[in-house]
Amino acid sequence: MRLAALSWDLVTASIRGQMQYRFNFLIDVAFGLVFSSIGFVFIWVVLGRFEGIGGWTLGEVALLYGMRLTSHGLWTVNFSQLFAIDRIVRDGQFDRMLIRPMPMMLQLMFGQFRIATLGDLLGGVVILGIALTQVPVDWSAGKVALLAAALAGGAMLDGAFQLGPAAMTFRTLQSMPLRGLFDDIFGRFSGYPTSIFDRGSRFLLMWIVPVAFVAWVPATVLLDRTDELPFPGWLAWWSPLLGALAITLAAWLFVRESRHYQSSGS
Amino acid sequence: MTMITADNLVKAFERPVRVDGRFSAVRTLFTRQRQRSVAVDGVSLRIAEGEVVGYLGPNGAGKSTTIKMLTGILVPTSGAATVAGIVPWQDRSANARNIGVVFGQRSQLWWDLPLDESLRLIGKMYDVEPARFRQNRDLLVELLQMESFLATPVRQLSLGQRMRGDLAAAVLYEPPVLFLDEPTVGLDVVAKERMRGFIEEINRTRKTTVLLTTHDLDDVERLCRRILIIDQGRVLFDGATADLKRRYAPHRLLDVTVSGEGAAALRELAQSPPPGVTTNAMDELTGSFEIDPEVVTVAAVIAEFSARAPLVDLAVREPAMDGIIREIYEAREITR
Amino acid sequence: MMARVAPHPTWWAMIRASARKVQIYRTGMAFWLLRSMLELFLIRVVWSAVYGDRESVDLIADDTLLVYLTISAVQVYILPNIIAVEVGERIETGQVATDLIRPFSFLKQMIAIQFGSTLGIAPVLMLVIPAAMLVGSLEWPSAANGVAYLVSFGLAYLVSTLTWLLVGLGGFWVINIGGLRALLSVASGFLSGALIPIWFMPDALRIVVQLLPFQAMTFLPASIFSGQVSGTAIIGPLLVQLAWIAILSWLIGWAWGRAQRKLVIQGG
Repeated sequence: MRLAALSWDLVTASIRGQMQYRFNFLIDVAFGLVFSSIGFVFIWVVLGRFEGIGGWTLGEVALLYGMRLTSHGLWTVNFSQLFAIDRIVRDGQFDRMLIRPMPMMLQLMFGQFRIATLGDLLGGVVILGIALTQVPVDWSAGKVALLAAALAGGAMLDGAFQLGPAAMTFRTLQSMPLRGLFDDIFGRFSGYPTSIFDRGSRFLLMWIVPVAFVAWVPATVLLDRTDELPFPGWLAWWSPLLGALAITLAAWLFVRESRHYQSSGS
Repeated sequence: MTMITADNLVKAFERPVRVDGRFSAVRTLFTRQRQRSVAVDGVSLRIAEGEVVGYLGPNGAGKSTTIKMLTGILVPTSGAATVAGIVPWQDRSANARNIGVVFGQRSQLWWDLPLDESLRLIGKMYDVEPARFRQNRDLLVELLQMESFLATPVRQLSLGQRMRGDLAAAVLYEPPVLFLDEPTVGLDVVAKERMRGFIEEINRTRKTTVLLTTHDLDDVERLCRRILIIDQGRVLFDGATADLKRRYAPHRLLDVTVSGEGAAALRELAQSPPPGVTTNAMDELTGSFEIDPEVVTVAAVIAEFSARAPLVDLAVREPAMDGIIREIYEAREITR
Repeated sequence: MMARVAPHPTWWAMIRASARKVQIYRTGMAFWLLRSMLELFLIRVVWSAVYGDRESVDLIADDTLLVYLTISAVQVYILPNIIAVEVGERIETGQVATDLIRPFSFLKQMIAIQFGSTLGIAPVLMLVIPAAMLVGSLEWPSAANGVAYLVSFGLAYLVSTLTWLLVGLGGFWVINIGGLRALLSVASGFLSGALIPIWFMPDALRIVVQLLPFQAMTFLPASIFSGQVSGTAIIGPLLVQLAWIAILSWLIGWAWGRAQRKLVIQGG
């Protein structure tokens, strides 16, 4: 309770700080929105013209895209400070997270909230909302719960592949290239049905960098298309757990590696 | 009661050796070659409750690294330490409640928010009761004269104002231990004096234990009864400030001025001073001498001088701190 | 007075300095190359899946389209926009006042920096071409189209330099030109036809896109490269590009004149 209230205080404080630069703030939000919607406009224009991709209709692909963007938004809204982790560690700004009576991870999450990240979340929710009216889902309580869990699971999976590499910043002072690579892979590949890829790529996207679990795997359950999966359909119901597992591992790694923090720059 | 302990504290930094040439980033990432440098090399110390200790040393001596281990920012390579009974890097949250930290070079405040807001957030973070918070805040605002800039965003504050804000944030929750890393760096004379007065006040009224690093020896003379000198990661001196002088610079300085007819007598004194006295400088009517108290007392020297020459003015000085410290560092250079 | 045939020696000095400076960025290049390969690969997979069994849509053949998209992506990597960052930062930090004192016009200094930075990273940029052949779909055009493409790409490079120079100059009037620049550079990927060829865009969008300079950077040369435009029809896109160069040069001259007046009034 205390930590939740404190986290909220930190978030509101950082919003008040950003409001001091009103024009920047507007540009940032616009940037977030444009950035996240261009990908969707692409899908909309192309699939509108071509009527679907690999047996998935425009509405179904929009569902994937909406799910992945919402997940991504949920992640970045909470961890926007991670984008700057290289600088934070290099300049020694990480110091302050270690000398306050609040867990390091919570300070990393809520210490600096960037309003621009709301663009992804906002765009994701809108696209997801529209997509849900366009797809034939046979709703049940279980499926509603799965959708919610999948959004959270996707956020955690996406996040784990940012937080994990970020852990190496403490030793190498640089993790941006690797995080950028994973951000690219998640951003580009998670909005499409993984079934359109050839065997090799499909394997990579499912088991090496498990992008497929962000949206495609849970969506096959929602759409009753689990026959496309290379494993039994009931397993797909548990796909959000993969995200929880991954983020736990990544957080453990991050905290462990923080032992090697060198507090340089002063 | 011992507030801070350190036993054989060692911190070695390892950095990957940068690889040049093609794909250097990737190769640096995977290289096994590492460069090792030891910043703190077996520091042990005991600081009792209520002490104000000056931690001195040239740049890169390991002062900040020691402080960063004691605050829980760095994990030592080996050795042990406790602050108020807690191992800082193992239980950071608990340690954080016991310590206040000010880094002169880097603010811990919220850059874009008014100072008052930063104080409010700190109060919440450290669970200061609202009534207690108001009382402490009002006291600090008065002591540090912060009323005029409480509503100003921190980024717009002058360095002196910002440092006062940082210091207020560090003591707001009444921590029993205060670490100050160069708290007066870059401040003007008035601002320095205000900081020192405040540190003195907090130590007196709350029995706060203070460990402070500084390059300004006026800070030390004014605040610290004990000093630790460190160089190349090792403690060179640990003891009372007075002991340091007794050990490294026991002599006194005597400046005299004579009236016009005393010029010849003064010249004679300067050319062949009495035992235990050496001549440092000499002008027509003024002379500057160094007295070794092991050979002769200051009183005896003054008596002899005034008997032999008509003195019009006289002053006895202790040698300045910075001279002593410089001597210690330089002696170290030579023995190295 | 002697007519100067060779370029002003300062040009070379500035280009060389800038080329050396960007060598630093090479460190992240391996990852960058990997990321561009991923994008090229995704383009091929997605568009192949979209086409499915069809051979052409809207008279655009599957192969032509893939070549078009691949070369577009490659161009987006190569085309410059560092100039906007340079100009914007110099205005923001006030450095521009110092730059003005130098005996070499500010605009020329900026263009030299852009040329230099392209030269500096060119060796790595060139790696994108084999990468594109490996994971994307790159086929060489006919000789005539190839030559026309080289001309068109040169013009596209100029259009790009001038456009981003103009955006950078916006820093004299707009605070946070950095945010605006990032916004435009993301939008330009779309507006240049690199993501979706202009042929497939809905009418309203197509008209907007054709009124902006971004298509002259990517769409026009790429459609020559992919053979979608050939024969005497190639003259059309080249003329459009030349027109943009003229328009942008005029706009920059006009904006720069006003900016200088502003600088004088505000005292830098």
